[in-house]
Amino acid sequence: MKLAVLSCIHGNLEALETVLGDIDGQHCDRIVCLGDLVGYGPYPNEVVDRVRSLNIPTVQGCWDEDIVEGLNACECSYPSQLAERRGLQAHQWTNEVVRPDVRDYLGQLPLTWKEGNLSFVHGSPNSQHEYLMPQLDGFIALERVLSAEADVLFCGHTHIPYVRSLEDGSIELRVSGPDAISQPEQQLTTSLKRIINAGSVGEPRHGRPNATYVIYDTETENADLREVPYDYRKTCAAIVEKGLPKIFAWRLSRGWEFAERADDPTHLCQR
Amino acid sequence: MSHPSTWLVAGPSGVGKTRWIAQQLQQHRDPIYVHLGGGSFPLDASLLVSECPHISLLDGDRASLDLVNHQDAGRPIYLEVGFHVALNSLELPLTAVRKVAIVPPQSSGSEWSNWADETVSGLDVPGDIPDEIQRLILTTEVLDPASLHVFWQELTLGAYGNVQRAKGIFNLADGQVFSFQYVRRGDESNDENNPENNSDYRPLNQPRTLDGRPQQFSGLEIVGSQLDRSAIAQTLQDSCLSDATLSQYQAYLQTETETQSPQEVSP
Repeated sequence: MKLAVLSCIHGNLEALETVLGDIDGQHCDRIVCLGDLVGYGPYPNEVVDRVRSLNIPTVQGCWDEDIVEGLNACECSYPSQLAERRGLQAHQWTNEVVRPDVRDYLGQLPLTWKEGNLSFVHGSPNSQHEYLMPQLDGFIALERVLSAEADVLFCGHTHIPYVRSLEDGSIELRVSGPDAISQPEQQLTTSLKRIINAGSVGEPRHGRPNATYVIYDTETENADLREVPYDYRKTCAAIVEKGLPKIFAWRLSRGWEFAERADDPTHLCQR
Repeated sequence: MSHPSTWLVAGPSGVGKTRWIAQQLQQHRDPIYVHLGGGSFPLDASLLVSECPHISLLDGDRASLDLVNHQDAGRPIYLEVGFHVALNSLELPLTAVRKVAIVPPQSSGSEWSNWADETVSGLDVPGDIPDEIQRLILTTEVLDPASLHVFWQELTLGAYGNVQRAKGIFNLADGQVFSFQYVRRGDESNDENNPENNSDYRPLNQPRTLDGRPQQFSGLEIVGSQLDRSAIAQTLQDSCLSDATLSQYQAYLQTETETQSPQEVSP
């Protein structure tokens, strides 16, 4: 089965439609969405309508949650004061335009979707807000996959696609109690685990404006990271037309995200 | 007078006039610096004072009489002419002035070369004259370093218009003062996708401000065209620390400094 996994659409309808066309052309059997349907981009309602119309299984992203629960990110979402201010502007704009039924839909999305040995989350099994950076410490990365009880963990949130294999994983655990008596050592050896990050459809961060997503073949276990050009100028024009900050359009055109994101692989989300 | 004691230095934006003057100032004991066309925006003067604390500054708009007296007293005088000042408009009450043009390499026959007594090769900057200068005073403002990094990247890559030259003095949250300088090159070394290659960042030799808001001059000057001043100002405003946040930073920094041993405390 060919499975298309997309993430981080962020109200960019033009990018979503182009990716859906590409998925058709690649003859995929199913689509799973890793959330962040809204935020920053100019078409939050339309993106949600499109995803719902196709009955795409979708998990809740951090922006989807923030639009329902209110902005409540930890510092990993906003590494600078400027990014935080811009995020707040985007949140306020989106909060004003999102329809009640869209808000209800976003609020009921699950945090995790499972299909056999595959698990799908937005950020990490720990939180929608936690970044699983490609350089994340191997021990922590393996712990995250194991906690999802999966062999392959699909995530997004970083906006940079990658495939990371955790081969021959082995965890050794020894706990020393306050009485300094050493407890027996415990060992856990795991088979190959993988983390596959789908990148971002609507807000790429890889230095080009192209949308990214991934096609996973469940039989061959091959992950194909797709990069799809789309007419980003239409989205940029809509950003300006709808009164979002012009700098969002400029950053989108360079493949830089609307506001910059965390780069620190050692930071773990405090939420 | 066998040797000139007054130098009039001109050239295009970003070519290295202030840098050349800074090098010359090291040879003198009590030099004077005047920036013609700088108005009430002492950015170049502040940069020079940081490197050469022994210089005296004169206000270019009101310096005429003082300059005559200083020249009569034999003090070396360096007058920097802003690129936007028409050379034929310069009427100085001074004698024995050596006119120096800093020009891009292989740019003979320019207005500056024809005007000068001496031509010095500077950076390879574009030959076209930019039509806009934007100046923003940031004195007493303190910036979040991560935000400033983002802003500088956006600015030099053209998010706020076509930038040929940008230079600023910024107060940072850790109490240091930094100069940021960017010049768009006219040669192959220009890298539009990586403006950091054309940027220079350095701490200024000034005491750290760890209590309250810094009072010394800081600001930003941008030379280019189609510059979006309001967007630049808004981004800078969003990057500046509030009183409450600055107080938190400074309380932390003061605690950190107090817990360091005397050997660890920087001068």
